[in-house]
Amino acid sequence: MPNPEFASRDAVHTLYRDHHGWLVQLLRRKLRGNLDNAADLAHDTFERVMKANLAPVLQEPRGFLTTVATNVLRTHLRRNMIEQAYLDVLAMQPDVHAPSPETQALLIEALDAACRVLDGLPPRTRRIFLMGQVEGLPYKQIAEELDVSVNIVQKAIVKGIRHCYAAVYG
Amino acid sequence: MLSPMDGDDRVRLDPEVVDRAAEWLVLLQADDSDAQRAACLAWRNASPEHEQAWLRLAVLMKDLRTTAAYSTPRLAARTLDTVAARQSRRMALKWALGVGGAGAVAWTAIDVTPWRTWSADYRTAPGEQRAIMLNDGTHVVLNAGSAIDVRFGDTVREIILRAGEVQVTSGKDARQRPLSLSTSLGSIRPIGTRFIVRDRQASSHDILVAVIEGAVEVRPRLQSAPPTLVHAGQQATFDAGRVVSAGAAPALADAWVNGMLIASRMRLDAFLGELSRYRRGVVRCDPAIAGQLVTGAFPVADTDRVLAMLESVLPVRVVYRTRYWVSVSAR
Repeated sequence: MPNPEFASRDAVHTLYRDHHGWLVQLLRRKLRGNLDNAADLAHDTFERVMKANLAPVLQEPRGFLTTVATNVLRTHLRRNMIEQAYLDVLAMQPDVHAPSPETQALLIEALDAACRVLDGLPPRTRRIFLMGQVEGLPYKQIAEELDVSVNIVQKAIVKGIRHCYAAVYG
Repeated sequence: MLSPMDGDDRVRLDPEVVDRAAEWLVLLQADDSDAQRAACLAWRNASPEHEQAWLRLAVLMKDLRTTAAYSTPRLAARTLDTVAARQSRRMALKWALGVGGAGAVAWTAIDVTPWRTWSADYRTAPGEQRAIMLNDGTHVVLNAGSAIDVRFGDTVREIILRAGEVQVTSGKDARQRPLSLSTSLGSIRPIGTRFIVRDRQASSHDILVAVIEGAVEVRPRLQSAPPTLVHAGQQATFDAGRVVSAGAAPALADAWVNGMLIASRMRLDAFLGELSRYRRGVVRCDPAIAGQLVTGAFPVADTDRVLAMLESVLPVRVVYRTRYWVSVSAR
């Protein structure tokens, strides 16, 4: 009776051998020629397939790999965008140092999750909510900076909290 | 992180209770006195639901502040605001430029989470319907709570259904590119036709395709067998692996396109489930009357009127706890 653990590992090796080169080329086309990133993302894709433990049962490996790779690619591009925004904001605060690469990776991941939850909030409500809940400014200060009443600030923060709750709990 | 709490039973809490919890959170932030804290604690202790709402919100806000912990509060807040602002500018630009663009642009279009609605090209809110015409003459009607992306490229015209339900009437393409509608579970290729696709996420996740005119080919994502052909008057349901069922489509499957919800001896709980797609908030059905059967044609644009109609034809009572919290129980 073959050991199922070995069967799964063999399946991943076979998958890798048969399709890794093709996947790198696919990702390279999508990333407009960037070979380093393509190799990294291909690696991430195979890692995910391995974790999902589906390698032995794939009927259409390239179709499946494309799906996973597209997911990996989109996350990568989205996080690039978030990182760019972060660096732009950082550049405007000369007294703050950039965090270590490890911390930065954790930060981008946390920002990514936060962005999803915030999506859909109207701009002014969002700004007040972020100033209150993430920046931690006192309501009076937010009211003064934005030239609105404290009542408006409180209402916006309640709205923001409800929006986040709905995004997570439905 | 920014997902339901560990150990949380994921039960739907009364929206009014969650509102109150949010208000308490804000009150405490504005005024941290002993008296205020005591009052908040009294409210929390008043019922397990109060406490659960409070905990969910407290953990959520703490998770949000993780972003600040990894950088500084100011940087985190400004970055989040910048990302959101850039995203809505990008969406506004897409709409302004109209649909389409080269295939290459589609793949480098960043910040699109697969199968989520948060950056869809076109979307509708609960209760909203919208009709759009793409530049090849394809006509798409979005039902309430739906979202699509449109990716027209050199070799294919692709519509991506991110959520909800759409009716597609395909236009004839001058460049003769095939039209394809993609969903998270597989793709649908029409053959000169009008059809409806609905992404359903109830007890299980599947896609329902009903064909009004012409025919479509259905390709579940993981299936390597030849595609399934579905003809006018027929409908099919599929998941990622296969076509789950096929048969005749109900007579007026596209009634929603004309603003109507048709029921033919439909269980009340199923009917209220359908109706709630067209309004914000929750419509709760008392299990005692869930099996009551509903028959008729109802206008989805005025769900309050539909609820009033139910009271006049069935032995039920509709109670509005708030505008967004409706419960239907036995009279």
